[in-house]
Amino acid sequence: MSNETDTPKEHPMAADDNFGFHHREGLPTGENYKLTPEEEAARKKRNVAIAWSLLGFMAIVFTVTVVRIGQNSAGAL
Amino acid sequence: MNQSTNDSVHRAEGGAVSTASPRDYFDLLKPRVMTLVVFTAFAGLIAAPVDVDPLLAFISIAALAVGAGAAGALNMAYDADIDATMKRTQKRPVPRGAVSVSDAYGMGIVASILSVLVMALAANYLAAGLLAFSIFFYAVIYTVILKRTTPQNIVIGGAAGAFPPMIGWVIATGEISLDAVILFMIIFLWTPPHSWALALYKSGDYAAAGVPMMPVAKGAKSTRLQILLYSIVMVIFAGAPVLTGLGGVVYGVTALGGGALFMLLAWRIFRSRAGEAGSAEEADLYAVRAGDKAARDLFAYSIGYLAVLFAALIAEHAFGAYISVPGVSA
Repeated sequence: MSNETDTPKEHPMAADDNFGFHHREGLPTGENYKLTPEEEAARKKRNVAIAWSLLGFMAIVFTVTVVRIGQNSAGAL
Repeated sequence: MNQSTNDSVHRAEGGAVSTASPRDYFDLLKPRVMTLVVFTAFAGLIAAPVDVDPLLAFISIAALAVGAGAAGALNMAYDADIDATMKRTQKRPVPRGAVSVSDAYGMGIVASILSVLVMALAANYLAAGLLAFSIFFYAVIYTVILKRTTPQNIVIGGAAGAFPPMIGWVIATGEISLDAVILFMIIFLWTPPHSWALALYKSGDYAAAGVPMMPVAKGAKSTRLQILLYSIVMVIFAGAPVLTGLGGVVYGVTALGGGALFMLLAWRIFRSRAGEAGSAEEADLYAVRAGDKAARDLFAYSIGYLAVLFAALIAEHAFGAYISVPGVSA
């Protein structure tokens, strides 16, 4: 009982000379996972949708900027 | 660990790559709700007595629609457990398993931030602040706090759905005026009879999910009475725009005729036994048992009523149909 409280527990990574990074080897991180054709097709569709959304956002910010500059220039005249 | 074990563990942990389509993510935004949001916001914007750059107005309304959709996505993420037990909502993307809860949260948060940002750029800070507050109100005050705890959930929570015409007005004018508050109040008072009519014929669904909607918590009879009372107040209040000059003759006649039919249907519910026969088992939104038709009719009509009311405002202010009511200055 006293040993448990008095002796500080050793940190799991204390004896690790590589900060524990080698423990990740063999864990299911997914880098070896092979996509099924359905997953690949779905991911491609999502990527295209995200790309269009980003382009749309850029176009909106650009348009708003141009209109605002136009308004401000007209107001300054 | 060999590759096959690695892959199976990866799948078991839910790490398999999603097969969700963009359409599934679009459905998270509750497109049908977005339609009404856009429509009422447009009415508020058009009715405002200030001309606004059409391009900036279009972008602002689009930002509002995305913001409303983002709130819907956050609602679907939090309510995934409820949605899975209710027949009406079982086919939503999250309970169906097409989109994960964390993805729904992610999309909701990102879309919220971007919509408020665009609103601030395209309109003004007040409109952006109101949009941010309405998202917070729907996602946190209504969804997290009110929905599962009180039968007054949609009375208070209805404020979230009432913001769009006010935001539309603020997009144009940059300030909140009496007319903006009137537009807010019309939808705020419209929400209880509209939502409780649905809850009457889907009360079994709500009871199974543990949501204390009025028919579940207080019974069908009390709900029918409250529908009638809220309908009276709402129909009378819908005439307020005529008094301030916001609405002209076209709006006045629409509010009068539409309100009379609304009252008739509310009276039919009050006199019926709607909500006492149990709940319709079908997943269809409009499927009812024989005794619940009065509730279904008011629910369906209430959507058209609100749309026509705001369409009258649009017709008057955008298409030159405004004829001032005698004795009222516009």
